Amino acid sequence: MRKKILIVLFPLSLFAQSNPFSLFDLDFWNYNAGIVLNFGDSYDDFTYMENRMDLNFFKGNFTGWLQYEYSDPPELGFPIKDLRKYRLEYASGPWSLKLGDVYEVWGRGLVLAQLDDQGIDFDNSTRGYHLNYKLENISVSQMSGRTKNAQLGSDLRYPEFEFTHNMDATNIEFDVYPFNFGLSFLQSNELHQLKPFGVMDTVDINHRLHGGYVSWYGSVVDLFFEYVDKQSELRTYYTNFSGDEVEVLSPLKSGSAVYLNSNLYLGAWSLFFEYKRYSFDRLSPVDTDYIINNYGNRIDYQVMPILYREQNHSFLGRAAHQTNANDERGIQFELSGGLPNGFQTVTQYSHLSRNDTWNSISPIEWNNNRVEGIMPTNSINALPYKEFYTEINGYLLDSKLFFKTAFGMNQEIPKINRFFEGVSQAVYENWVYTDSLWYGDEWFYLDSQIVSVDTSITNIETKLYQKAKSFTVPIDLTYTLNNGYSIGLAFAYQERYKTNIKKGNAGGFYNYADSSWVLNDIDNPNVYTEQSTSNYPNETPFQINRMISLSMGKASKWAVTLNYDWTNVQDIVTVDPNYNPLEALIYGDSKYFKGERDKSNPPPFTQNKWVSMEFSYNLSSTQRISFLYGSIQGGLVCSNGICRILQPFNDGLKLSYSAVF
Amino acid sequence: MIKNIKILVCFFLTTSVFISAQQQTSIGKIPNINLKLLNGKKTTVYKLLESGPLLMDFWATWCKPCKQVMKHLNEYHNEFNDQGFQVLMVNQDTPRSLGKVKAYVNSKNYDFLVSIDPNQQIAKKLNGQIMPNLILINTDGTIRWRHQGYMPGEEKEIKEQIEALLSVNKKE
Repeated sequence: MRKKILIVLFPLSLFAQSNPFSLFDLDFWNYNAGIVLNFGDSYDDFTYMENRMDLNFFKGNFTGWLQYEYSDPPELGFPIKDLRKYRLEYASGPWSLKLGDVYEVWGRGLVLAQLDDQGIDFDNSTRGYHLNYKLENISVSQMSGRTKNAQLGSDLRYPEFEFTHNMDATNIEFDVYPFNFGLSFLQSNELHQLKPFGVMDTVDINHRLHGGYVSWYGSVVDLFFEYVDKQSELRTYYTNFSGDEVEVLSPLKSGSAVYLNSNLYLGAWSLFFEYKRYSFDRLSPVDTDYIINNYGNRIDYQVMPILYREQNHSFLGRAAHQTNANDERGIQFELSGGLPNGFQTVTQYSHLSRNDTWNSISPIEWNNNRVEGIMPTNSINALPYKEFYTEINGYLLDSKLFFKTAFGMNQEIPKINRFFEGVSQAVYENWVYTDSLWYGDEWFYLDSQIVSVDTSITNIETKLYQKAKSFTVPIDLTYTLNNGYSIGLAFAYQERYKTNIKKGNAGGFYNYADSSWVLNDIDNPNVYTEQSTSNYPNETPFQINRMISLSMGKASKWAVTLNYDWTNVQDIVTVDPNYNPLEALIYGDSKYFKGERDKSNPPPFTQNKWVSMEFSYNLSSTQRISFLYGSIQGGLVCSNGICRILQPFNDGLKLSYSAVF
Repeated sequence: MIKNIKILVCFFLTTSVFISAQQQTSIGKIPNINLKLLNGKKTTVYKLLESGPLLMDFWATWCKPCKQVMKHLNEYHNEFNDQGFQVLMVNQDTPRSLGKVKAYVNSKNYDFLVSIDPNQQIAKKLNGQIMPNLILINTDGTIRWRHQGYMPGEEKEIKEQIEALLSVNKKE
């Protein structure tokens, strides 16, 4: 840490001129700072402490940033008790220089988009330098440095893998309003870890990205287009006869991506359209999740548009699509505008699919065929996803009542285990018993022989896949009373279906050598069946989720919110081991307060329910503290197209404090 | 756990005392930040301040309270614009959802200025990561008032702060 502080302070000391000690005089600098403290401790040991302090200071042409973090352990990620981030910037005339942790975005992120998203422990910044020269309409940027991005493995909280990139990148931008053009080049040498920490096994990969973007801003129409081409090569070494180490670069993967966005403005109405086709790898439906071993794909710098709705409701977020940034094409439309009485509406539609259809050759082998044209397909074996969302919001009762109601639905094919439709040679051997013995009161068959083999060609359909769909109705109401008080009510209802579908007239494999599918009924090969079974535990047909939230507050002072979230069946069954007084109060269980309940052996009606209460208080306009007690359901949490499984937080306390000064 | 709570409490008490002592007329100055506006044009914060005081707010299309306060901020932008006052909304959507920002702003018929900050660097420089985050800035770059979050009813305090600043400027 001392070394990092010196790196920032040394050039500043030269600037301080006559009195270097003025560096430490707060009156010398202009500055602002922010603090965020978070603490949580639950009954089932989901404990975390995450604290960060940001200090920004500037004087003349210099700007600096320091971020200190003390997290042991954090909610997600590695423990850290150190200066986490630092950066010194100098700008004068057409030049600007940044030293330290750099975050840049070029175009819409097909080449480079660097962010720090604490919610999902994603940080792809570069520690190095960024140099920019801007003169009139031309801007040239060059940057270089190292990025380390952690990746979760089997553990839900602690990363087990780390990918290190040493990168160099250049961007040239021409700004001739209303046009804007950009050309980007990025090269990265990645050390890709293949095994969890403690077992160092890595591959060395070289990535090269060439991209360009153009945008046009009109009064009625905007257009944006971006393209990127990517080549990845595997770097290995061998020793030649002279004893020298020779580097060999072997082609690994190549791909490209296209993104288009246009907006049309008609008065107070806007029509938004997006198209994408990302093609950096082709992974069969069963290999999609194995990103550790499938290297050479889209790299961590590429944070690209997802083309589905960024949800702001937890239920809709849980049913969100897991974006496939390597192999996906799609479109998205959104119409938004004003209605009479000041109401607003937004209607959105999204359709995504893979770039190929996938067909099984055998239970473990696949072949793929490119989807024709440029649009996404509805074919099941291209894993399609469709989403529809509509919302209306506005004010009533003399602008005292704010309401928002929406309807969201989606459906997708998230998994395929087997998908074959065609002809196959059905191999069926007919056997007869040739030797048998009557012993006691039954026959024992001692030998048999094959008398014939039926190899007729049969139409075969054998499919095994999962279908998921959901619909959600959230309603929000907030009423502002006099004297700054307000009350709020939020309610959401959701149904989710996950169905395993098995259909066709054949099932597993009889003999790999024959490459034959086994008919379900050899005597009736033309009998096709379809079976649907729910993927939820205990064959529950579908999942019902409900949530009620009641809140009350005084403007600029305090707010209290009670959340009650319940489901009829969990995706992964977890048991809440404790029964806390808040739950008993909500369930109206008087026995609890009379001491007639065993708190460590909660009754069944407490399961599948999560109750929490949060109280927040503004100590001042720049300081806020909040306390949460109770339980929060775990599960899939998605942010910016990246999803993580968060473990449940049962019967615990969360404290958080934030301040700026 | 007890040790962690003790550390937190000490740190919190020290910080809140320090911050409370800092609550003066001015809460510091703002650096000159380059801005890229939604219409593609570029400017800086100090260029905008040449017209008059500025109220900055950090928001995103997925932030519910951000969208609730925007209606009121647009009203204040129009009401006090003849005195040089402007509202600047700094959008925090990443490239994953950046394309929708202009369509959203246009559909609401908002008149205030909007700039984009897809890698949250402006937010980091001004500690605006918690949204919404309002910063009221005088023409000399001094920060007169800050506020994090939004609850219905707080728009009255926002308006009072704007009126107080404009009133002080008039007297000067």
